[in-house]
Formats: sequence, structure tokens, C-alpha cells
Amino acid sequence: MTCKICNTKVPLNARLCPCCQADVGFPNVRATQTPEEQLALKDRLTNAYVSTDARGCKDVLERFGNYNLKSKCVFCRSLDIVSDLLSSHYTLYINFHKQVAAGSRLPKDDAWEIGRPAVESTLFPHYFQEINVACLTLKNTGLTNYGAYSIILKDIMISNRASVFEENPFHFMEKHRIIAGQQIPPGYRASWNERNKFAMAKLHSKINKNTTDDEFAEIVMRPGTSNALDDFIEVHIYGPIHPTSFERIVGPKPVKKIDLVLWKSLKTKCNNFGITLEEI
Amino acid sequence: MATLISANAGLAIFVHGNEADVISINNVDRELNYPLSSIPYLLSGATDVKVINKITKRDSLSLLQKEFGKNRALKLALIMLDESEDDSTVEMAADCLAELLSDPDILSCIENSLYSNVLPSNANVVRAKKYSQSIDAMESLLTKIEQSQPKILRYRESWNALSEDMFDDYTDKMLYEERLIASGAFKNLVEASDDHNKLSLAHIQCLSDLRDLRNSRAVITHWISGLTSKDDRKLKNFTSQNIDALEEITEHKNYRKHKIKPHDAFTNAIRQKQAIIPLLRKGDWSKTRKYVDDLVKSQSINSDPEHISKSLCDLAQHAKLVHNHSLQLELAKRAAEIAVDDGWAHCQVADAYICLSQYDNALKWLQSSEVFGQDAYAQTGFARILREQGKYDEAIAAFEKLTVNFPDSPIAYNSYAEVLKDVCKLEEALSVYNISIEKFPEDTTGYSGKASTLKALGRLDEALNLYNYAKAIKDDSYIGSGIADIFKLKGEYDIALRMYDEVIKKFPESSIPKCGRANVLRLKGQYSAALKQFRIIASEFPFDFSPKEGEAEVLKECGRLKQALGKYEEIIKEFPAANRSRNGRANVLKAMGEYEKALQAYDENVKDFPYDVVAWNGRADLLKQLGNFADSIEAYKRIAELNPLDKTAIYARAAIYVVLGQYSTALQLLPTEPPQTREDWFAQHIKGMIHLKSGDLDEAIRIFEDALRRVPYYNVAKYFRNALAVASLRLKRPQDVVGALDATQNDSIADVLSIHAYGESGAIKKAQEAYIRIEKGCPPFIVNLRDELAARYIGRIKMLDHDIDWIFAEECKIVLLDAA
Repeated sequence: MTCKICNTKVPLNARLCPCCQADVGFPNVRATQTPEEQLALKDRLTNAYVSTDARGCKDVLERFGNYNLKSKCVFCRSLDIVSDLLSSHYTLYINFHKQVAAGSRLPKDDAWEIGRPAVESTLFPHYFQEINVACLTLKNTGLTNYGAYSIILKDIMISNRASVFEENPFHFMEKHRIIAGQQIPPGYRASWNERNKFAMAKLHSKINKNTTDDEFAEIVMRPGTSNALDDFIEVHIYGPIHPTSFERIVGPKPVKKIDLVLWKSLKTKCNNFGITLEEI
Repeated sequence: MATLISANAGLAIFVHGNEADVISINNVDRELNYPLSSIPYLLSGATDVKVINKITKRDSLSLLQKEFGKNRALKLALIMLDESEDDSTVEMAADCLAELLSDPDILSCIENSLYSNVLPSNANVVRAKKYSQSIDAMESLLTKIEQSQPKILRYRESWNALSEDMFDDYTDKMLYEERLIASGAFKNLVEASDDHNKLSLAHIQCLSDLRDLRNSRAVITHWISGLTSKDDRKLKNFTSQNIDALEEITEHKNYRKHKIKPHDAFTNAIRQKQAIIPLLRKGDWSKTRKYVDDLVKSQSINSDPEHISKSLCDLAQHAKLVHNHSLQLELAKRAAEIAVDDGWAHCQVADAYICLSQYDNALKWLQSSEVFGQDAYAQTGFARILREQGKYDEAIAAFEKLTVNFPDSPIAYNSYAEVLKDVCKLEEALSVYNISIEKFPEDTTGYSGKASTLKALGRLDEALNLYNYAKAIKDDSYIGSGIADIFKLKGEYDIALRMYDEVIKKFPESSIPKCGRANVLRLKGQYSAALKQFRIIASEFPFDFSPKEGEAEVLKECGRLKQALGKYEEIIKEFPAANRSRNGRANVLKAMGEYEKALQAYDENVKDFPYDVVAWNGRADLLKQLGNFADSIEAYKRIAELNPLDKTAIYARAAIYVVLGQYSTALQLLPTEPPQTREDWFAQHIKGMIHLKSGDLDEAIRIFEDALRRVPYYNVAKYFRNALAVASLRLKRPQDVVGALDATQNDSIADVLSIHAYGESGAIKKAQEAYIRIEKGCPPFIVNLRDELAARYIGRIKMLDHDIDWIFAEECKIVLLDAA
């Protein structure tokens, strides 16, 4: 893209125009707005309409899309991590790679390829360390396999800097047989504000004429079984996440006394930050 | 196996191959399995991850519990000190802490942490002490901490002031700091700061604790120098000497290995491997791992690393055979770790990564295998990745180059021919195989490849001769199965069965001939025998889903559609990546007349396997059958984009244009050359149909009859037979159709045309029989015609209002839509 102010070509990873320093938007969101991406997403959506029309459930698909306009962004963590995140006004939730770089004792070599920055740098060239990962939900909980406590983010704090993606990028790269540095096929990402269309394009095959509105949440986010992968729409948020972005924290009230102390402490901290703590 | 432990996340993660077993502190009895790529998700936000190699699960869990206790105790201590917490929370924290602090390690951890930084401004020490009265250790610790605040501040400021230039980077400084705190060095130095002698000892201890960190002496000395008096500085030399002495003490002794004779070691290893292979086949992974450990242990004493690596690589290939690519990776990586310069082990790791579709990692290991002398394998691997990615033009060029660069490598030639086969350049593939055979007459892969290409071209006798020739050189289960398969294709089922029996006897460990044999039983219509066979094979090879798919196909073929569907669902549940089964399931739904569900299943397959052209074709075909011609054309266009070489999709589109009467558009999509490949014969069929629909019946009949004489693909002939039947019916010659269509079985189109032919000939009973066969499960695009013919000749249903031209147009339509 080029800067609207000075017409200079802007690098893919830039937040500001390198020449005039004008705000050029968040790179992950910009990446969803190219003509190729928009056209490919439109094609996928057309396919979704064709199939659901042939299957007699086009109206259900449209209802599903409307529900997704109200979908939220969520990530799940353990009670300890949630408690740490609210421990001070200076704590930020940062990207895994930044976290590794900031002192986690994972080795710097890629003995297990667990960081797989190659994968993420393909998706977010030169800015993968800025991207935080969450998922889309139609209910107030996330994938609790990754932690019993779901943190729901405020729309207003992420809507300009978030984009949605088909799935876990590692699996995406394997599925699409992509090598680092090669182009990601278009149509598999969208801006936060287009998440409804994206959900329709991706998930129409889960819908039939008997699908009820109550089932939509399970369609958008389905935890994996023992040998199947979690199925979800990944949300990519540019930049760190401050606790003031948290709308609510949802999780079980602990039974053990040692956990209950943390829970009580969490309640106090949530009050200080204006976050709703919801017990399930 | 490496283990990752995080008290913050409350997880112990055991990494093996491409997988991770995860245990949570909240439920240590439950182990969940995740792909390796889930680790960043599991550990996101956890800043205390520890990586430990070679630790048992039991010890890992104990460590997790210990770390969790330390982490939690520190959190509770900070809650106690936090002014903003209410009294009841502080009281509860004190209660919990009392219990935790009975463990001296946890107490020491809290001390070490609290001594490393000044208390925050909102710390309420007075209240914390009040609630700590019953916990002696805590009360005394708080008192000491409170008193030591000025000293802690000095040490902290001095540490923070250390230039990052002394470290590798910012992370390195953090690592130092964590070691200083965790080892107690920070606390000891603070505590000793008022006492000259104690400080010297603390300094020595600190140097010792951090001696394995780069530049540690300079870092510690620099840090302390700003805080100590002149007398203290004199101790520097003394401490350095002491550290050197310490290092000497920690040297390890070498023990001599008790070796056995090389031949005995070799036979031992073979015996151990033979014990492991059946376990792999049964899918007993835990026993497999245990036996592999034993193998490595015994070979470590008696053999060189490269021999251990060879055994592990061999086992990795067996893991590949049972489709456990994660274990394949685990074994291959272990081989590469044991024999770091064994290029072949690197090749095996790359191979596992290719199987897992992790091409980045595969490329990296191929590059390292090249460094260790495996140039040919590495280059083949690079080309193989291009082929796996569907970049056929680049792959062809790469393989061609390989034959130039490695003229002595049969793999280069045979792989080149294989990729030519992928793109249906069968004649060119044959030429490459010929060169391969000429250059490497002792290598049977070339013969097998060429024979299978000839088979695809319908040149069965030539293929048979070649297989037999290869068999005389070196027999294997592929060659034997290839021979049996030719008899199967020729319809000589009894001979095929006999041939398969011979192969099975000779190679009992292979599932291929066993499945081949069961398939022959299916073709013979011996469904219960086929089912029994497939079930036996499935129990023998639980991780091979081919026999399970075979069982599902038999169930479908003998009309037990519900059971077939159940079987496919069972396979999909067990093997979510079995895309062939997923398409099989969709096909069964289609056969059940559940068109909406079938389309949904194809849609789902397309989502999960975006490059599975079979699924895309299934979707397009269903849209076509449901009469959504415009959408179907778009769907076929999409397939052409995905794979421009897929002629099936192009010709299917042409067939729809013919149905719609757009002949010139259709002709633009059809080849002008005479048919060569299987797909070309479909194009020929469409050309004939254009003549038929245009009223040029003579030319249409000429094309169909010529094709029936020449088409080498037995399963393509029926489409020409059906087309010829439509032409004959148009010419009012039903007697020509009657006998011809009887040869075709289980074909709804032939049944509909039979109603017409028998009805027109007056053989009403026969027409009724044909109708009954398609009364249920009739594809939607045939229903109208079936009902019209049934009304006209059998009187089954109310007379409809269509004339003979409509019937002809419908017959042309169903024949076209069925074929392409």
C-alpha cells in the first residue's frame, strides 16, 4: 500500500509511514484489505451461499452471520497467569515470542520447533512478535483446555487492531503446504469488522436446515477431542493487551483454599480495573 | 524426551515426535495429547517455563508440584503484603502459607525472592506480620526483610545499573538475575554485606553458582565492586583460585564399557528390532518406546553411534508404514541426536517432516543431510517437496535436473517418471522408466513403475510381462500384488485370488496383497467373505485404514448403506485425516438419497482438505445432479484453478454446456487430438453426444462404436454403451439396446434406458424389473425421466405430459451428466 498523505510505499510491517510518520493502520488489518483478499473472501462467501441454498438452509446461514456480528474475542489462561496479569497497572499480556525473548528459559535454538516463528513470520512478515492470539466466541468462554479462566476483551479496545484467521496458523501452513516466505493463499483472513462474513464463509458446512441458534456457539468454537484438533477462528491482535482491555473474566470458583485466596484476590483486582468477574 | 514445566501455567508437557502429552497440576491423573504446535498456546503468558531433558514423568510431576508450591507461596506472600487486599484474604493467605512453608525449599524460595527487590510502596508489613504471628518462619522473614530494605535497595540499584553490554543481550541479563535469585546468591550477598568475612564467602559461593554462565566472573565482580570496601576487593584473586579448584573437583570419571563381540551385538540388535516391529504394527506405543530404550541402551554399550542410528532409522521407517509419523519423527530425531554426523539419519528426519507436511523443517534437515554427504537424497527431497506442494512444473524440472546431476541414481529417474505420471504424461513417464531400466537393470522399482503406467494405459499384457520379469530379479509384495491386480482388472478373478494367496504366503507382513485379495472377493460378489477378510486385516493392521475403508465399500456395494455410513464414521473418528473415508462417507450419503447431507459432507471435506480435488469434484458433481448448472460450472472452474491439469473438471463443465445446448462453448474446452488418456475418452464421449443432440446420429454412432472397440479402460466403456443405447432408441431400434445394457450392472442410467428399451419392445416384465432396481436411491437428475418412462410403459404412476423429444433430451442429459 501507499501512504495516503505522502504517497510513499509503506512496508508490510509498518505501523507508521516511514516518511511522513502518518498512521497507516495496523499491518495485520491492512493485510486483510488487499483486493486479492477481499475478492477471495467474497468467492468463499458465494460458495457458502450456493451450498446452503442447495441444502435448503440459506436463511440459517444468514442468521448465523448476524449472530457473529456480536461475537467476542477470548483467550483462556490459568488462575495463576490471570492473577499475574492483574498484579499491577504495568503488566501487559504479550506475544509468546516476545515472552520467550523476555526471559522464558526456552532454548534459543529450535530443538522442537515449538516457537515455529517461520510459520508466523510468513503470516505476519517482520511483525509476528507484535501479534497476540485469541479466538472468536459467541459465548462467554473460550477454549478452556488452555486454562480454566476465559478473558473476554472489550470490542472497543481491539476492533481497530484485530483481524480474524481461519485456524491455528501451524495447521494452516501444513494444510496448505506452505513453506516459510511463500504467500498465504487469499481468503483466509478478514478484519474484525468482517468477522461475520468470515464465519459464514468458513463454517457454512457445519450448518443445515435443522441447526438452531443455540448451536451457533458450538459451531464457531469447538474444542478438539483426544485426537482431533480444536476448531476455532483465531483472532490476531496487534500489540500488547493491557488489563483495561478486559471486559470480563469467566471461570470456576475454586474449591481448594489455596486457589480460593487467589480468586478472592482476583476479585479485588477486577474491582480495581472495572472488570466483571463471573463465576461458572 | 524433553519436558517443559511451568508452575504459572500449572502444566508439565512431555514432548515426543510431533506430539506433546500434557498433565495439569489440577488433575495429575489425566494426560491430554496435543500437537506440538499447541505449545505456544498452552504456555502463553507463562514466564517461568523450564526445559528439562531426560527426566521421567514421575520426577517431572514431583518437580511441577514443587515449583507450583514455590510459585504459589510467593504469590500468597505478596497478597499478604498487599495493602489493597482485604483482611479476610490476607488471613486466608497466611493460613495457606503456614502449610506451604513447612517445606524448607519453599521457605528458601520465598526468602530468595523477597531479598532480591525492595518492597513496593503499598506493602503493608505491619498487617502482614500481624497475620503471620502463628507462622514463625514468616514473621521472622518479614522482620528481616523490613530491616534489610536499604541494603536490598543498594544491591538492586547496582544490579540494574550494570550495562547490558556485559551480557549477550537483555534476555541474558534476565537469566543471570534469575540464577542469582534462585540460587540464593542475591540474598546471601545482601545478608552478608555488613560482615567482611561473610561477604567473602558469599562472593565465592556466588561465583561458584554462576560459573557456567558466560563472563560470570566479570559480571559478578563488576556488580559487587560498586558495593564493597577496599579490603573486600583484595579477596578477588583468592576467590578466583578457589573457583578453579572447584571446577577440577567436578570432573567426571570415565568408565570402560563391557563390550560383546560385534557379530553378537549385531544379532542382538536385529532380535530386539524384530520384537519392536510387531508392537509398532499393533500400535502399542508405550511398549514400543520402552523396547526402543532397551535397544538404545544395549547398543550404546556394544555398538558405535552410527549402528544405533541405523537401527532407529529402520524403526522410523516401520513407524511410517503404520502412519504414525510423530513416532517416525521421534525415532529419526533420536537417531540424529545419537549420531549427529550421520547424514542418513538427517534424511530420515526430513522424511518424517515431509510426511507431516512440515516442509520448513523438512528443508532444514535436508540441508543438513546434504552437509553430511547425502546430496542425492537431499536434492530428491527438495524436488519431492515441490511435488507434495502440487508445483508440478517446478517438480518436473527439478527431477529432470536430478537425472543430470546424479546420473547413477535410480531414485532420480524413477521419481522423475512418477511426477510425470502425476500430471498424466504417461508416455513421457514410460520413456523415463525405459531409461531407468536400461541404466539400472537390477533395480526393480523402474520395472514396477513402468508396469503400473502400462496398467493405467490399459496395456495389461505388457504390464504383466514386465512384472514377471521384475519378479525374476527380486520379488516383493508390490510386484506380486501388481501381477495379481492385472488378473483382477482382466476379470480373471480366480487366478487373481491364487496370485494374491502366493504373495500373502511369501510376504505375510504386508497388508497390500491381503486387501487386494479381499477386493477380488468383493468384485466376485462374495460380499460376506470379503467383509470377513477386511475385518481380519483390520485387526491385524489397526493403524492402516485401508482394510477398514475396504469393509465400508463392501457394505456400500451390497446395499447395507447404513452400516457403510457407520463404518466410515468410525474410521473418520479414529483417523480424522482420512480424507478418502470422508469422501466415501459423502458418497454413501449420496447413495442413500441424502443429497443435502452429502453436499454438506463434501463442503466439510473441502474446508478441511482444501486441495482435495475429489472432494471439490464431489461437491461440483452434486450441484450438477441437483440441477444447479450455473453453480456447478463455477465449482468446476474452481477445480480447474486448483489443478489446471485436472481434465475431469474441464470435461464435466463441457458436458454441462452440452446439456444447456451451448455446443461451441463446450467444444472450446475439448481436445482436438485423438484420445489417449482415460480423461480424453470422456471428452470423446462428449463430442459424440454433441453430434447426437445435434441430430447427426450417424457420426454419433460411429464415435460410440469406435470407442467401444478401442477404449482400453473397461470401466469407461459403459458410458459409450449407454450413449449408443440412447442413439438406438432415438432410431427406434430398442432391440439393439436390450442385450447390450444387460452387461452393465448397478448402473441407474442403464436401468432407466432399459425401462425404455424393454417397454418399447413390449417386454413389460423386464421393464418392471429395471424400474424396481431404481425405485429407491435413484439420483435426482434421473427421477423425472424414470417416472415418465414408468408411466408410459409400466403404468405405475399417472401418465405425464412429455413427448418423445423430451424423453430423448432427458436421456441425452442423464448420459452426459453421468459420464463427465
